[in-house]
Amino acid sequence: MSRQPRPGPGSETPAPEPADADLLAMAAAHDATALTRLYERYRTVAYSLALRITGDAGLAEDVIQEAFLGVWRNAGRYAAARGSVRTWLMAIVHHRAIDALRRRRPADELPDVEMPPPSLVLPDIWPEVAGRLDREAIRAAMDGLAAAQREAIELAYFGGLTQQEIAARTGAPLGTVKSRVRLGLLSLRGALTGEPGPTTDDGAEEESGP
Amino acid sequence: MSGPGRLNCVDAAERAALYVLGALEPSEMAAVRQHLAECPEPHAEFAALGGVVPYLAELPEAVEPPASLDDRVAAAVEADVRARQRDESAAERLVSRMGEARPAALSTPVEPAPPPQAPAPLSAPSRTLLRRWRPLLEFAAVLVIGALLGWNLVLQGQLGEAGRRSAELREAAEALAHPNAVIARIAGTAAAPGVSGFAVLRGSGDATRAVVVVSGLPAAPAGKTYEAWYVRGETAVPAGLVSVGGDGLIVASLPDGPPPDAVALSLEDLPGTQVPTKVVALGKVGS
Repeated sequence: MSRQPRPGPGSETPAPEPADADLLAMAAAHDATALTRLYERYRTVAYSLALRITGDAGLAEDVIQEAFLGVWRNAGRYAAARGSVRTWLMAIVHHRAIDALRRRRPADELPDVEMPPPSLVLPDIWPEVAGRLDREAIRAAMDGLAAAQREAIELAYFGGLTQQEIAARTGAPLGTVKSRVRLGLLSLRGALTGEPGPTTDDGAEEESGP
Repeated sequence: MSGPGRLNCVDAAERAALYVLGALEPSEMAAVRQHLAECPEPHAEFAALGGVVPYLAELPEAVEPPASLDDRVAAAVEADVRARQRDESAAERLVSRMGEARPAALSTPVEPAPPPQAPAPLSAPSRTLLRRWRPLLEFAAVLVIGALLGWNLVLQGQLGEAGRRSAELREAAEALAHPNAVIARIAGTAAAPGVSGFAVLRGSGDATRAVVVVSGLPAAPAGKTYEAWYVRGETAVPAGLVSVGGDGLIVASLPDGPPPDAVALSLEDLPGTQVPTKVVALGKVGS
């Protein structure tokens, strides 16, 4: 795969640069320079995500160090069919950051909630939209969601909260949390791909459920 | 909701959005994962919803990490590289430990003998290569032994020593031909590069013995001898003195004992020692 999704202005890479997947393959063959180059490409977006999740610069640095060490050790396990290198790498950062966040909370507040391992990350839609999406477009799509849907998604993704915890935090029933997350993700997909999304009226939220 | 029971397709699909965000309770995460692993249905809803999740990673405000983080990441990777090299092989660790323990014990360095003419593969002990070519090498080893046997048979009757060697080579050939042969691929240490050979185990339990064939070692200097060792764990047990024959080979049937982890050869002052001084060749069993 030679595609290099890189949203955000001013982040074009010169043509002769090797593709992410090539660098990862080199890292899998124990080329530490290749890992460094991948790190240089993703250091800012990775650190920004870790910082947003942990809210703590020191913890975010630990997360990034551990995440890239994980990338280094597991480079050979990346499967292009499951998504882009960017997605794989950011899923590892996300996983590590949520893990750090949950471990730092008082033990009685949170059980050790497991995360889907990076290998279970599903095919992303980058190929469909890469190149014509920048961070602002993603933000705009997020802003277009109903506030309650956006909140539920953010509490899950950036806060590491489970369905039950989101329900407790927002005072919404479990079934409502479930449908908010589902409709929110579907709307986001519609906005990003240009496909028609689901209706977002609140009536659709009151789905019965567990 | 019934806890961590088995889910049907509808149950799983209903949980897809929370699942792709990692926001189900642990038992539910596991139940969905299990369903996806076992269910033949495509479950497109997981891909449709999960495909959105990577975009969420782009939302945070960009914050430049401190330059010190770059150094930390580089240092962590370097430390990992060093650790990996350290762990490369237990046998190599063992060699270095044994070799470094008494570095100056040998006054005359062991000169590697000229490499044998045929067949070449065994004379270049690249571990990876040896692993990859193992079946071929074993076949080649059997061929070599066959040739050596013939050569030894010519001498048999002239020399009692040759008779003994022939018997040991025949034993090694028979053992190697066995489909479940347990062998140790022997390579020279830094002190004796170019040395190659093998040991094949015979017998079982406490009556296990190794038949060793090693080429590339010169005759021991005056006043010195080669000594064979069984290595078990981190202990090396003497397995008798061995010598290089007129054909340039060490051929020896070592004594019975518990199965060794490795077989080693060292160069010692006569009449031999209880602890190896200068390991010149080593082969890990199963290598």
